[in-house]
Amino acid sequence: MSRAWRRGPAPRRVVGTFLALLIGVLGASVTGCGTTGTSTVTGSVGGSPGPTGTTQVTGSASAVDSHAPAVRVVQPWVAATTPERPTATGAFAQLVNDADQPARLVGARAASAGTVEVHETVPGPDGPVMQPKVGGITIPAHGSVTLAPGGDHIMLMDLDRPLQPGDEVTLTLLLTGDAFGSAQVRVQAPVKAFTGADEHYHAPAGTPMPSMSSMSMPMSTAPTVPAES
Amino acid sequence: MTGQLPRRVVSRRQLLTSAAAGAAGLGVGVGLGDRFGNPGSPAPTPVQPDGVATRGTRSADTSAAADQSTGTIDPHGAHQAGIAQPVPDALTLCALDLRDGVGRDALGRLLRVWSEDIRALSGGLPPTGDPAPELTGQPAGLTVTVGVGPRLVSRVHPPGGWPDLPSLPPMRHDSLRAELCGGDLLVQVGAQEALPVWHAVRRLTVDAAPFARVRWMQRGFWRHGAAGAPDAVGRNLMGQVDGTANPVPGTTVFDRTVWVSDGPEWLREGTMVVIRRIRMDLDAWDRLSRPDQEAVIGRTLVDGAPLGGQVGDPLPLTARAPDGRLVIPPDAHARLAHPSTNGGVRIYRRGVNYDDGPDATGRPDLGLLFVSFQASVDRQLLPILRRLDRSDALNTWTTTTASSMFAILPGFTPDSWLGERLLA
Repeated sequence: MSRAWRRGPAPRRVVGTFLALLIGVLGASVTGCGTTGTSTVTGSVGGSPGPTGTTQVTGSASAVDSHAPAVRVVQPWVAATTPERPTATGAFAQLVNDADQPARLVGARAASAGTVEVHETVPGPDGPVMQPKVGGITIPAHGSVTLAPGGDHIMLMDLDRPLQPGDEVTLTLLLTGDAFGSAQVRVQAPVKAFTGADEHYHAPAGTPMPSMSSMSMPMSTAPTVPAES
Repeated sequence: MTGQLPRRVVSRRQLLTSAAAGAAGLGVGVGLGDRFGNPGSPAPTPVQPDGVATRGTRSADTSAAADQSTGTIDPHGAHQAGIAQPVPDALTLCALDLRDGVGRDALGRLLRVWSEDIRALSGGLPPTGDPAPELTGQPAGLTVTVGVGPRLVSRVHPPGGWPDLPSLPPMRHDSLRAELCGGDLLVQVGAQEALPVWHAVRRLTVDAAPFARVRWMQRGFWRHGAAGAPDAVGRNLMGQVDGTANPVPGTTVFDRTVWVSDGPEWLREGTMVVIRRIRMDLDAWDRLSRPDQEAVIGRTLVDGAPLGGQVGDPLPLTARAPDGRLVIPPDAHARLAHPSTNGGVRIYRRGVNYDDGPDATGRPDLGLLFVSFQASVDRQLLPILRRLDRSDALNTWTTTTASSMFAILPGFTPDSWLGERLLA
């Protein structure tokens, strides 16, 4: 399998300003983990391998204290693709770090995506711009970060099929941290329509979006489901 | 703020559900099962041996009621939430029609999306993709209940098919508005506050938009009287105590009345719901004398006691006045709806008041959103409706303007989704 993420210069992607204004804070916090010491919750790092189920935890077990706090992935989700851009979309979640040391999201994988990158959204000369985040996303000790449209997120590209609301994507998040070394967290992320999405991928030179004044507020036309045969 | 909950085997779905401790600070430190403690245990309510409340008391004790008003109701279980819980102060009923081309696969995706949304909303979390998650606050006892209509069931054709009447036959006193009748999907959303209900309906309908469009929406309100008071069940807009002699959740009578125990496998532990929009002519009603109003119903207005009896007494159906006339008039609503008048059948009523303002001619459009749950509409509700349609004195002041029937899906667990057995 090719590396899910790459360093170095990368194409710049331009994001519509409307999207940039939507910093969705998904808010609520989560339970602790591993307190019983028996098994690790799916969707978190730390502790012994988890129970049967749809997710797994792998990592440098020797670096892991089974009672150590962990990084938890809360409410993961993926935005449905649109007919205008059927091969790329964003994945989001709240990442909660209960350790005493910071952790970093350095990459991710998804079976249906040929390329997955960790992205940030930064101001650009003609509007917000998405680009790979060098060094990944830092999750502060005893803190959290929210991957959301318009902010930091995981970009799934070269999708082998459009993603429709109600589909599920298996996401593997690659994390590093002094508390546990390196680890992978696998979660099932549901696909949800997100009508606020308004982003375009352009050639590596990074063609800017039209200026704000020339762009009308996108009306949320509900994406429709293709008719089933 | 995070908390440390005892850990047990959880799937992704449970992870999401377990995230509901949260910002509202609701009892962090209890297990998942405790968190979603379902206030289903009945109160120390005086009940007849057959499990029917004899007084207008709430069907849950005070602490459970408080839990409902400020906290969370577990959406998981053998049955969906929003049926055994007391009537909430705010209730919205919303019907949707599937878009063309939406078949089994797409419907499954919609129901899985809704299942996740319901988990989040019930726990006081914004559903994923909510562009205004700040609208999420205290869930205030939010429940969401999902049903399917006959056309959807025929489209999906599960084994056993539609288990009941294809539709309610028209009643003579009906004046139905087709645009408020029927639908492929129903969501019933209730809470102790209006904004959580609105927010949940909004998220559910937006997330459904790729699959279905809203057909109609009917909103209602309710208020319970003081716990233990004769009007604890609440009052309708005619001022009548409404809900006396309702089966009590948690009792055998309730279970037998409401839950489907035979019939198609996809509906077991579900139920059937009928929603009837009963419009009241309050201007004419207000011109009646109080004794005349009480004779129409067969109960006093002040406390819902049966005429000729005390609060909590069974209806004295055979009692006669000294002049030989029946104390409960032959056409009194309470007599005609009584189980012993209808071969022993019962229904479970969970209706709310509505007032949508004046209609096009300036007359108030208000009344009761009558919501009735029963295992079989054909066997349990239809006989009562026919009898009322034929003889009820109340018909002079009421007209049913919409009528719908849905099959309420069985419950779901953290590892399953609503309607999974329908689409199996």
